[in-house]
Formats: sequence, C-alpha cells, structure tokens
Amino acid sequence: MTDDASAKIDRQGGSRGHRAPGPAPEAVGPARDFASFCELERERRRNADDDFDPERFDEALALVLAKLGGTGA
Amino acid sequence: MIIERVQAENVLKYSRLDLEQIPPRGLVAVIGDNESGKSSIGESVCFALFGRTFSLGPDELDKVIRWGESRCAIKLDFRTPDGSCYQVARFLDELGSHGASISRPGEQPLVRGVEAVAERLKDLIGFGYPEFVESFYLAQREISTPKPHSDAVKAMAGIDVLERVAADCRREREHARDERKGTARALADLDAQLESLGLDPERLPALEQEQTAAQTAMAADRERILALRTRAEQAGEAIARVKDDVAAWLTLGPESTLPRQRSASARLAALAHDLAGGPAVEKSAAAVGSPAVQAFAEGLGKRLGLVDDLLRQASAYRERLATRLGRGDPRQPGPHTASETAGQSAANEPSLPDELAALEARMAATGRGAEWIRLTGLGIALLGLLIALAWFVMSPSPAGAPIAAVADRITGWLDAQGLPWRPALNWLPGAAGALGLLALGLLIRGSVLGERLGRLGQTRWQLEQESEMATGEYERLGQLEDLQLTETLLVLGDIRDPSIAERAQTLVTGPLGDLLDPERLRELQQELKGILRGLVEDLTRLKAQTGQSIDTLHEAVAGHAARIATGEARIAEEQRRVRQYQELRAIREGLQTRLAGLDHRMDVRQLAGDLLAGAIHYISQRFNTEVRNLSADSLPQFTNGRYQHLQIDQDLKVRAFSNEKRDFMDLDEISSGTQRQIMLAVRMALSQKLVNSVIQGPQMLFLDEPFAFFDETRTASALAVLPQVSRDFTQIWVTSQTFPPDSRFDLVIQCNARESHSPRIHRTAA
Repeated sequence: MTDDASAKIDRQGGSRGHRAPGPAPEAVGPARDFASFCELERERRRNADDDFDPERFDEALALVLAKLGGTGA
Repeated sequence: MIIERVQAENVLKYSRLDLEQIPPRGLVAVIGDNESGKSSIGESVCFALFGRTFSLGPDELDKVIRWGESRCAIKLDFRTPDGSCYQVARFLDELGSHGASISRPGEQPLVRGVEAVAERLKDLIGFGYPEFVESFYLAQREISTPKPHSDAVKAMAGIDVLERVAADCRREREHARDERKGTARALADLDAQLESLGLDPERLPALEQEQTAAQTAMAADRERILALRTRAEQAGEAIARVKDDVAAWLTLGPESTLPRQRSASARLAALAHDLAGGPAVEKSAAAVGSPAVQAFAEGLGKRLGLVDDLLRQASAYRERLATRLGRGDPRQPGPHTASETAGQSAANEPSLPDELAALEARMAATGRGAEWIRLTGLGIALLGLLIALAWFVMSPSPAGAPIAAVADRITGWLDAQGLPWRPALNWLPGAAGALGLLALGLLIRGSVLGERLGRLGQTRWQLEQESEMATGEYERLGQLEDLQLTETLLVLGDIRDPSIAERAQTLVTGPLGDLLDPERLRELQQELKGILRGLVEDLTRLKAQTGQSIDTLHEAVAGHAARIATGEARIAEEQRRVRQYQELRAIREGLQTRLAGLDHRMDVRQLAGDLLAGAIHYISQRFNTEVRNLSADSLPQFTNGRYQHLQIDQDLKVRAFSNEKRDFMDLDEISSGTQRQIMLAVRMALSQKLVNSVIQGPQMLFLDEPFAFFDETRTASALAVLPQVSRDFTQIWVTSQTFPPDSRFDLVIQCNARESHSPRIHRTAA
C-alpha cells in the first residue's frame, strides 16, 4: 500500500462516524481474520476502556484493511 | 495444484526426463537406490515451479544443470485448484541466463520472465517457495518441528501479511514521528520569528490615522492656498475693476446721455454691491472703502431712480399718447405710475383719428341735412308763392286791371279744358299760407344745422391741434434715450401733463442739481476719486497680505508633505511587517494543522499496530489450535494409536500426549521413529491448514523419504494412512528405496542409478 493511500485513509478516517467498517464481503484470509479479531477487540475495548475512541478504532481498522487489500490478502 | 506431466532436459541427474500421464488422484511411488535420481524428481518439480531447489541455494543454481552440460530446460504441466491447466517452462544456462514462462497448453505464454512467472504462479497455485518447502514438499532431510518464525509458517498462519502491514504501520509511524519532530522544530522557529517581529496590532491603524490626518491637513492648506490665490487674483481684478468702474463715472458730464449716466451709475452700484456682499476678498478689502462707495452709489442710484420713475411716467404718458393717436393697442397700456392712474380713463377715450373720422362723418351728415332742408324750404316757399300767384290771377279782378286780360285768358283755357277750377279758389290762399309757414320752418332748421356744422368744424380744428401736439410730444418722448440728461429733463418739463412737467422741474432744481451743474458734478467726482484711492490702497494691502499667507501655507504644505512621505515609509514598513506576520501566522497554522495530522497519524498507526499485534497473537493461537486439531486426525493413525493429542505452544514447540503414560511428552523423550511420525503428522496438518486457508482444492504432496526411520510395519501403516489423512491431498508422491511388498500405488516410477534418461514408469500397482 502506498503512502498516498495511507494518507487518504488518514483524511477519510475522521468522517467515518461510529460505524465499524468490518471486513469487506470478499475479504478472505488474513483480512477476514483481522476483521474478526477487531470485532471482538472492539467489544472488549468498548466495555473495558473508558477512553475508547470508536472513530479512531475504525480508522485504524480501515487503514489495516486497506493495506491488507493492497497486499492482496 | 496437481502435477500432470514433467519434462526436463539436463536437469540435475537427468539428461532427459519425461513423466507423463501422472494420475491426479492416488499414490505415486518413486523407487530407486541411492543416487538413482528419486530426489532429483522432487527437486526438478521445485525448480520448475520456483526456479530453485531445496538443496541448492540461489547462488549455486548453476548446479541444477546436469554435469557437463551448458544448459537445462524443464516444463511442468499442472492443474490449478479451479481445474485449469497450465504449463510452466524454465531454462537455465551456465552463464546464468534464467528464463521462465507460463502458458496454457498449446497457447502462447501468458507471462514471461522469472519475476513475472513467480508472481503469476503464486496467484495460480496459492503458495510460494517458502510455503511449499514447509508443507507440501518434504525434502529429503531430517524432519524437524516447524520453525515458528519462518516465513512459511507465518504464511500458512496468515500472519506474514499482518506482520508486513504492522511493519508498514511502524515505518509510517516512525516517519510521522520524524516528520513531527521536524515540524515541531519549524513551529518553534516560527514562534521565535513571530516573537522577534514584535508586531503591535495598534501601530498600523495609528500610523494610517496619522497619515490620514496629515493628508487632510495638507489638502485643507492646499485649498486655502487656492482660495488665497483666488483672493489675490480677485483683489487684483477688483483693483482694476474699481479703477474702470469709477473712471467710467468720472468721465461723465452734464452733457452725458441718460443711458451713459445710467450705465456708469449701474457699474458703480454693482461694484458697491459686490464690495458689500460679493466675494469675501472684496468684502474684506472693502472694510474701509465699501461703505463710501456704496453710499455714493446708492445716492447716485436714488437720483437716477427718480429720473427713471419720471421716465416710466413719461413712457406711460407716451403710450397713452400713442393710444390717443391711434398708434398703439389701447388694451395694452404701458407701465403706469400712481400719478397717471387718475388719467386712466384717457385710455378708454376714442383715438384722435377715430374721433376726427367720426367728427368728419358727423359734419358731412350735418352739412347734407342742412343743405337739403334749405333747398326743401326754398322749394316749398316757391310753391306757396306760385299758389298765391295763381289765386291772385284767377280771382276776379277789377276790370281793366293789368292782369285781367291774362286772368281771362287762363280761366278761359281752363274752362276750355273743362277743369273744375273754380272751387279751388276757396282753398288756394290757405294752401299758399301753409306752404309759406312750412318753408319758413325749414329755413330756420337749415340755419340751425348750419350753426351746428360750424361748431363741428371748430371741434375738428381743436382735434387737429391736439393731434399735432400729441404727435410732437410722442416723437420727443421717443427720443429721450438719445438726449443729454439736461435735455431730457427739459423735454419732460414741456410735457402737457402737469404731473410730469412739475416733477421734471422739481428734479432739475432738487436732487439732480449736482448732476446737471458742472461745478457740483466735479465736486462729486472729487469725492469719488478719494473713495477710489482708499479702496485701491485697501485692496493692494489685502493682496500683499494674501501673498504672505500663501507663502506661510506653502511652508505648511511642505511640512505636511514631508510628514506624509515619512508616514508612507513607516506605513509601508509596518505593512510589510504585518504581511510577514500574517504569512508566518498562516504558516504556523499550517504547521499546527500538520502537527495535529501527524499526531493523529501516529495515534492511528499506533492503534493499528496494537490491533495487528493482538490479531497476530490471536491468529497464531488459533493456527496452533487448528494445526493441533488437524494433527489429531492423523497422529493416531501414524502412531498406531499410541499418541492421539498434541500440544503446540506459541513457538510451535510440540508435545505429544502419550496414551500409555497419560501425559504430554516432549519430543526428545520420544523415539526418533515416533518423532518422525509425529512430525509427519504435524507436516500434514500444516499442509492441510495451508490448503484450508489458501488453496481450497486438490493438492499434491511430495514426500521425499518420509519413512526413512520407519520400520516396515510403520511404513506399511503410514502408506495405508496417507491417502486417508485428507481428501484434499489427492496426489501424493512418496520416494523410498523400498516399500513393503504389499504396498499399492497408482503409479510407480522406477529410478536407476546407472541411467541418466527418464526412469521407467509402471502404471499398475507394484
């Protein structure tokens, strides 16, 4: 994934709102595993962390998924 | 991926190798003695797919070429999990030229080149060399536990890409941190510049205000200069004008015409007016002279005003004369004065020509009547006389009367005519008398009309006299403007209208006396000369004062201009500083935004890294669990039920649960043959995991000497178990020097150590 793509995610990250991006329907392999882990991790952090920032969480998730998409995973 | 055919030339041991019609399902046995070329088949497959072998590193690839040859080539036909057929072709020469291509059977290559083929092949079969040698290709070596940190295992677990992304995030975070440091330093430098700039926000408005005030003051002074210049010019013009206007009056004399008198007096009056209420310069200049000129002009004006009033009265009188003479429109009389209002009725009188015409008509009618009456009276008188004469003749007269004969003759004639004339003799005297009376009356009336005609003639004479006089006055009054004032007053004094004549006399002896008398007029002009001199002196002094004021204002304007120039320089400098401050502020805001963005970028990547680390740990645990579960399917079969469970920790350290000892045992506590059985089970589990996660289709296995430490019983058991371990491993290659006698294979490849060409193939079970 290029730095430009990362920057694009950085720019778009703040406007995602609280909706979790989740794995794309066609996500397979590591991307699917990562998204599944993040779903669990989101719930864990939401329940355990008073400072949980869902927007930043979604942005980080989207960043990783985008990078995984760039690797073909 | 299923291998369908292998064709090689000068690869490793073989000068020529052609393994065709390889069954897609079943066990493929590769049998032969040591150095017979069994492993060369597996390494040929590995070389065909990935351009390298397990035993030869990338820097010794030339050893793939058969000894004594200069080049080698290999083609591998295979079927992908989706059932598509491809052929990968590769060649290599001793100079290091390495080529590769992928094509569909009978078609042109889809891709060419080592790198492109490697990339395309991974897309087609789902794995690369590291995963291949850690799973489907068990090279001839000591079976060991899988290396937890190897790329192949990470690829199988699916964490290699996560680690790459995590490394990418770390790299981006470090880059952002470095960039943040640079940005923070730039921000600090910028703050220092802003601090050193020391901009006072009130300074520029204050400078601009001062500049505006200076410009306003300069503009006001310039206006004053212009006003003063105008004033000086006006003073000069006033001097000339005063001289001209006064000179025009000084040249007057009693012989001057009234228009000239009036014009010169009007110029004096206008001068006095302008000095009194005109431009400021003249007002100020006339502080001394103006009242004198004004008083002089007013006095003069009043006197000429009296003349004008008299002239207006004369004009009205002249218009009445015109009306009387029938030269004007009696319905539009001229201006009237109060004195002439009493004579207004004169305008309603008939004009003299009309009156004369009427009189003429009346006289003609009277004359004709008188003539007619006189003639009628004489006729009647004659008729009466004749009647009296007839009566006298025809009346009986004494005989012998002189007229008796005549009378007789007439009466005889009448009788002869048979006329009854005799009764008429009775009334003839009366008739004669009546006619006589009538004739007398008419003659008296004719005499009366004659007297009336005489009176009318008198009246006509009077009217003709009046007309002549009126015409004379009318003409003289029409020439007043061309007369000297003295003559004008004389003409007016002779007018028959007593109010005009008396008023003219009064003016001559009264108010206009000093204008008509040469001596008194010179005194008046001397007085005016005195006023003139004072006025000119005042105006000259004013002009000089104005020039001094202009000089002073010029100095003030120069001072303003200098202050403005200095102010402009200061404002320009301050504006430059303000622009610099604003630019620095804009840059600072950009840097702050950049810092915030970088902080956010770092936070997001930190969080992404945390999530990736957690996901890697989670997936690793799950991978180990899956490998353990997959091993649990084959382990009892490989160990004849002595070991059924494995324990695999985070580092892929394997422990096996012994049914006999009822406990987990480390591998070094287990016999080497059992270790290889356990590790074969783990290898199969890893392969199955790779199929499950990536390939999801039929897959070949190449196990090079997997039963080296197996006894015959274990080998037979393992051979029997292999096809049942997974339905995905449909094509299993197994090499060995010997197999148990009852072993069954779908294809047997018999290698011979003394032959370099393609080994023999047996398609029936051995």
